[in-house]
Amino acid sequence: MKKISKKETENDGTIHVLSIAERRKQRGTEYDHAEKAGILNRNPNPVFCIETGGKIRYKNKAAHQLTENLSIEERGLQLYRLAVMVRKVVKSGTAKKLQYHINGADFRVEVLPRDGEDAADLYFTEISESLKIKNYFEVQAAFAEALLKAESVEDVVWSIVKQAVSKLGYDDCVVYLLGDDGKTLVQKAAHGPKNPRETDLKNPIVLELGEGISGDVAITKVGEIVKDTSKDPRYVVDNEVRLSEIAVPILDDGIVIGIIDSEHRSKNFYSSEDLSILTAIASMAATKIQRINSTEAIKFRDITGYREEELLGEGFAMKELIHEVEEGGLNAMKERAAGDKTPKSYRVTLITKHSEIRRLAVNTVILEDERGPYTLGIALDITQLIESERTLRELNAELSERNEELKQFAQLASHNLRAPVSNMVGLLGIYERGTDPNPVNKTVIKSLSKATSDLSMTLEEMHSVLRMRAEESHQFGSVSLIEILEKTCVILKNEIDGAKMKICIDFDIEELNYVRCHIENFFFNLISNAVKYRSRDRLPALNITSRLENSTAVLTFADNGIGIDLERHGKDIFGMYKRFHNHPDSRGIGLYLVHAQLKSLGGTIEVDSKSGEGTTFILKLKLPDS
Amino acid sequence: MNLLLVDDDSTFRFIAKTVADKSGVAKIIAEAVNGTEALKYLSNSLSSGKGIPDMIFLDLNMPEMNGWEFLEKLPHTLDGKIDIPVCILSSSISTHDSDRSQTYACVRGMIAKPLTQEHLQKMRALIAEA
Repeated sequence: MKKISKKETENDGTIHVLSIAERRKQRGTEYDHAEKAGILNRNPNPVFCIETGGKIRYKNKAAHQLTENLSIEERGLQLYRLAVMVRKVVKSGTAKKLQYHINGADFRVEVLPRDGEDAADLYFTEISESLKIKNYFEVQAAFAEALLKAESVEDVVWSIVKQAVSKLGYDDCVVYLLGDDGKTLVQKAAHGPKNPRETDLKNPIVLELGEGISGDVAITKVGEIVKDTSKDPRYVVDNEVRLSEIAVPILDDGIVIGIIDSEHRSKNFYSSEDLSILTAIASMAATKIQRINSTEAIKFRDITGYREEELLGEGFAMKELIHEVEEGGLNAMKERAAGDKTPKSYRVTLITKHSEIRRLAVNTVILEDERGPYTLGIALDITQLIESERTLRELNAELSERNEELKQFAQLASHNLRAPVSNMVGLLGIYERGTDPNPVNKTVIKSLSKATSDLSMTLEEMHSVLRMRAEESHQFGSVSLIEILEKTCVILKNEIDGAKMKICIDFDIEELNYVRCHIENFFFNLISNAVKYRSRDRLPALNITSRLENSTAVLTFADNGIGIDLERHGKDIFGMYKRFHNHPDSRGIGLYLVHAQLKSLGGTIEVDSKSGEGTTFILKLKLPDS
Repeated sequence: MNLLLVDDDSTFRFIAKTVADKSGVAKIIAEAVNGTEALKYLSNSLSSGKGIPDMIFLDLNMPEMNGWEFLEKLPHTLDGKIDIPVCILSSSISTHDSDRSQTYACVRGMIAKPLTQEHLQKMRALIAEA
């Protein structure tokens, strides 16, 4: 019957009953794995076997190292203390872990009594190493927590350097990711001198695959420690020369997607433990990156309401989800089925597992890898977008309706006001002036005449604007600039003659294919403006030119009048009822009309002016395609 | 120049009458407040041979029968016996109104209110030419 040595309670609360032999066997296995992983720096065999009487039955090389440099007295004292420990442990029949200080170092000593013997085996582990391992676990735990919060590949690479590498005591570390071209490694995150603050990356470098130790690791896919970079021809200097380097690949399903690389100024800095911890970090990072990159698949799952395993499982046909394919989509699908490999885009309506309607914009493309051609499809949920478009259309229709109502109101107001205003003008016209002896009445009538005249003019202008806006179609035709000028000069004859204004013309083009009433309005407003705003210091002059620039006719009206303070009024110059002078005839409507008419046909107007020197208007008329 | 003034606005009729009296070239011999009344007057004038106007001054916007309806029915009332020219009076003359008025042979002019002596002189000259 197997002898039961003890009961041991594990952390998870279960009780395992093991014989000493089993325990020893298990420990041996643990130590073997630990040695292979390079995590534990200790001898798998007992360092001592000491009897309860104090006699050393066995000791190995490590025992000599533990006691070397000790004086004979000191060595004897240590052996006595160990013998006392053994006695206690054997007497209790239970293995014990004790701390022990010897030769300037701290150790954890495990004392295992031998079955049926008054002796125990002593295993020594340096406590400093144990702490290092504990630190590794903490680093991994912190990194795992950071990965949970990571939402992008960028978050992941910065977590590697900020949450993991920085806590491992390395001077420097960079993370490379495979470039979009698949042929280069691009630095994406760093710890140390290359990371001056937050997520700034100083002078990131790009390596070709195979270039440098990192580039080589990307090819071999095996993590590597270079103990002395000065003897390694592959070494590439990044920001400064360092003497040791470690590089581990970030592997996604056997494919290198990045490299974690660290350098140190001392030779032989990195140990196998470093390789292990970085390999573990790289593995965790790869898993997270893979998840992030498959977010589209997760989103598709979310869109359809089906679980991933349902979507990917057997017996599930994607076409069953499709409720409707928009026009063009069916053709695209047929063409694809017929072997057409060109990219296709169409919209479909899906019914989700929860019977909701979803609109998707689908793009598909045929790609090829070593396993043959396959279809890559990207579906964008545009349900919300379409809903927004519909709302926008409704709002637009409502706005148009309101706009139309407003226009009709303005027309009605303009029309209905004109009758009483014209009556006021008529009544004032027939009023027998000078017949009333009361001087106050004379002033009242004079003021009433002025107010009526202003009101009438405002209505006239309002009517002009409404008439222009109401013009739905613009009749293009041949327009003679000379003829329009002559006609305008006839209309403004009194004003032009009264001001003694000289008009000079220089027409490169005399005939235009344009809307006649617009040209008439341009000439009328700009010539009457030149008269109105002439300078009293000199005889007024106006130069009118025309030229053709591609499909644009350019008309310029340059006067030597009082000018406009463009710094003050530049932004308002073409606004309705904007006046820049106190001229009695200034209505602030002419330039507004000119600008609005030009703009309605794709033209522009510019103004160049200096106060006291004159103004030049440059009209660019977009001519219709002949 | 004897005028028939068709306008529902009494103020305008007063102004027009005063302006015509002052002008010395025109006289408003009859007034109507809408098309129906005007046609009735014309019909009676033709029957009696008295008070036939040289020209009709016509407003467009009137109740009961507006200016356009009056123009439609005028030839029927005149029955080809006589040609009386019409001048349209309006407080706002739109391109649309102007174009439409061209379709009536009897319309010889359009005047934007308020009426002035110059308007009357121009109209008289027009009739004299014809």
